Amino acid sequence: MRAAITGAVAVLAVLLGPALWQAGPAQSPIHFVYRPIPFTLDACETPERHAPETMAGGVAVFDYNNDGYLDIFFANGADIHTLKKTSPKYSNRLFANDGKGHFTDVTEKAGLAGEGYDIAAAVGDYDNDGHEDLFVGGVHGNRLYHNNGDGTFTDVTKKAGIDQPDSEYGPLWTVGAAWVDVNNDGLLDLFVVNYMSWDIRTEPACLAAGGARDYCDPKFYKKTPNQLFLNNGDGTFRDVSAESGIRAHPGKGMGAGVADFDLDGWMDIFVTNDKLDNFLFHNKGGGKFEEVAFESNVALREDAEWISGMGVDFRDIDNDGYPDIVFVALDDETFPIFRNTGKGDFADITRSSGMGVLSLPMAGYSPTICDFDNDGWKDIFVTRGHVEVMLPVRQGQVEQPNTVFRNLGGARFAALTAEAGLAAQPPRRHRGSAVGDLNGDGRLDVVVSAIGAPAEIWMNDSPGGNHWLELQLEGTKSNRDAIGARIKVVTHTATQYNHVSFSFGYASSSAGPVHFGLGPDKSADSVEIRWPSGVVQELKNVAGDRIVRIKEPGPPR
Amino acid sequence: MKCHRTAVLAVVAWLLLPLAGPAQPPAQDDLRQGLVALNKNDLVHAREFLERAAKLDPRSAVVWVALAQTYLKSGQKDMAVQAAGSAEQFGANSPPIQHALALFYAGTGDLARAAEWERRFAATPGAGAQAAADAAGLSLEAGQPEEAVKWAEAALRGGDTPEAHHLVGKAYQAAGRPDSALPELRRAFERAPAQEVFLSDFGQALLDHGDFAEALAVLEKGQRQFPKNPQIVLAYGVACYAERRPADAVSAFLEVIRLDPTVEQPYVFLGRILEHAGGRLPEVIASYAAWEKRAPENYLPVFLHAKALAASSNPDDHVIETELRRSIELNGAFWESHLELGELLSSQSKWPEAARELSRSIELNPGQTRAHYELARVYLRMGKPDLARAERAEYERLKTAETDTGRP
Repeated sequence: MRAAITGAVAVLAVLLGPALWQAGPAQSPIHFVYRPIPFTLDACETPERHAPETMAGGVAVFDYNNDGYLDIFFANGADIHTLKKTSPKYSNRLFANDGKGHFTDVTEKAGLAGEGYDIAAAVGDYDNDGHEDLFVGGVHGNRLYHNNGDGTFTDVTKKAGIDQPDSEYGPLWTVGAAWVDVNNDGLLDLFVVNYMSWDIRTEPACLAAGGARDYCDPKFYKKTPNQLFLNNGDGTFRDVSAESGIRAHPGKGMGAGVADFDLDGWMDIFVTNDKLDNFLFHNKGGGKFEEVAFESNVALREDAEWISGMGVDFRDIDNDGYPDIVFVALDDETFPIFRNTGKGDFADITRSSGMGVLSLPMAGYSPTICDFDNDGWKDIFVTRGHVEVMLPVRQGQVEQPNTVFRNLGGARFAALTAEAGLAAQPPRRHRGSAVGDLNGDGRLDVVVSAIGAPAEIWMNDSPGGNHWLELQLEGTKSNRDAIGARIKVVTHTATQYNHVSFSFGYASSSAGPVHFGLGPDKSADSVEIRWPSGVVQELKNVAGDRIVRIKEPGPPR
Repeated sequence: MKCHRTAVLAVVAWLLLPLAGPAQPPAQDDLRQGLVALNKNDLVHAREFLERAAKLDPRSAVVWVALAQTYLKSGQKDMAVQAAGSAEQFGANSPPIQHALALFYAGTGDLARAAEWERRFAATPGAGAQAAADAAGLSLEAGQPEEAVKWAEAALRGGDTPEAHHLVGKAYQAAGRPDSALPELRRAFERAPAQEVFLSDFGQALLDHGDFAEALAVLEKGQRQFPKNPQIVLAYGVACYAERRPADAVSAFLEVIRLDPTVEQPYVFLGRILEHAGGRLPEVIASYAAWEKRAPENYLPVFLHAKALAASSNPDDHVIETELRRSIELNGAFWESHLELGELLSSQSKWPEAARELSRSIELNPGQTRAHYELARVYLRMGKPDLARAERAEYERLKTAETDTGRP
């Protein structure tokens, strides 16, 4: 017995892998129905298993033509060997929403088919002209598309100066980006998340159990720096990565969340890294950042393990006015939640929130923090799927359904998968996601991409009849998108907070109005907006169940 | 061979009886009577007859090996070994004496000599496949894997049986040739699937080989077939964990504890996967508490009990701290107790105490990463940024070394 048991110990010691269980109420307060959309994410999967093939899939939801309806953009892959879109199947796609649930492919007219191996989508009106522009990041090539306001876009990458190969690291691999006004000058700057150094000619060959090729662990690739481009206001940008302090911290970035975590008026940036410490870039003002993840307790989980940090969202989940951090990882790593203590640091509440045990068997890519049942507490929708190759034996674990974690109040969560209707489609290797009310019914819908599979629209048909309020902010002195504006909504029963940021989840962007669930309250007693310019605006008795458009008071920029 | 050794020793006398003939005539009667007495375990008379026979025929290897056996059974090992030496001197080339000496030395625990004599016996013409198998078995037990392989292969050549394949597989395993071992153990299992040990060894080999899916299939069936075999249930639990069925792994480990609460491994395993215990955590805690009660001087159950309590949804810090301190009292050299206590104290903002425990943990196990990281956090809060930086740098150095080793 003893010898065999020793053998078993040795086997177990190298394991400590994954699991599977599920929980949730029988009657789900959050529910979705599936709606198809004719897009299949083609990552050009090859038997060689090149790393980018499992990392594709950014999604954006934004109103590209200002018709009041949220449209959908999908980033798509390319030939992995040439990094060119050598076939129409690799085309990025833009679908226009007619507001009645019909989506029309307008890619060609819009000029957004793309050229390279695209992954990330980031929406932002960088020139404050009232038309949302689009940054598309990818493998060894990024693009900036200027929205012409007539349903077309122009590739302004060259003029903007945001796609130069790095002098030290060579061509970079972008997996995420966030538009954020880091110096409060009223112009959106661009933060670019770069993953790791990749070259198809030198990429190692990694084997899964059984000898089949599989995607390599990130430890076999070198770190690369993230980038910050300062908006000059004339359609050009200046690379301030080094002088801002960002470049001094190379990593293996997977996602960026932007929020003013210490409420000092400057937007901070949290970056998840794959099997490395996360970064929290604290904005000291004047375009200077200091990396404070360790000091703030967000570098690692409380057990100090390096995990596969994936997509992230950075919003207040417990309605205390301080943005919290939720990011996802692979199975057996949990989906960590860092609660902002309001004292300049964070506490790891993964276990106490219930998320630890719920997420342990799951592999996630894209978390979005939104109130899906309009009860006044923000929930977390997570696209799920593993990075591993889809060997038959692993199929059940690599392909996974999506899950919504319902906020039970404060920061306690229950996982809803089949209960929420999310098992209505087969499990997939889901990747990016974007959120918005696509049909104007006051409930937030979710658009999800999946590798080698049709994209999914999950229309929210949650029961309950809770009330809601959406705020569409327009900056005048502040950036026009009002990114960075902090919003406090007070109703008869609750007070809640959010801020404007289009950066949600993995490689994705959600640029709809800021959504608040009001629960039983038909209106908000007050809505307070702290604009990035410093202007504080308050509205009283704001009726709910509608989109309210709010313009920043005061003289323009 | 090992499990049969005691029984085999009892029949040594019968084995030697046919050899009584060659002794000198006056000694022959004493030898026969001595062997009969030895066989009846009448050691007093056996010794009397055999010592007289030895005086009458001091060159009879048969007499000496029988006498060696008698002395050994009488608890006089030195005299037994001396008598065996005489048997070796006068009967080294006699196959029955070689075999008898192998059995004798196996009885003394001198497995290397036992193996050596059994191999000499097996090498004689006509010794047969069983002798080769015994030589292989003894060589395995003696820690001589290459000899074991040689004789196990000989046994297989002598008879294509599931037992022979099993022996060859075990010998290959011992020789560090798992790829060769697996097909042999598979053959043994496939040809005799009802043999508990074949199933168990094959399942374990699959686990060692990383064939977790097949291991799970074999062991899942096996634990239904042999539900009272803790080894099989334990291996099944490991396979469940490997195949991402941690809830089943937890159940299996709890079952092993129920079957045999004295086996330590399932407790340790559970301690490593507490986060997967879910609704069964109270049972895990209860099993640790019971173990702690049974072994109050053992630090491990105390530590694991504390760790499991800490994993509960409403941990009582006071109880956990008391348990951890008791674990440290019982064994102050166990780094994990200091680490857990340090982290607990850190969570209570007791920085200097936490720093002390974490430092002690590092002192005991400098290669672990977690304590360095936590200590860095503690130093930062103690206003010691330089020390914090140093600990964090050490954490990163260790972590990088830990993850950057190996190739794809």
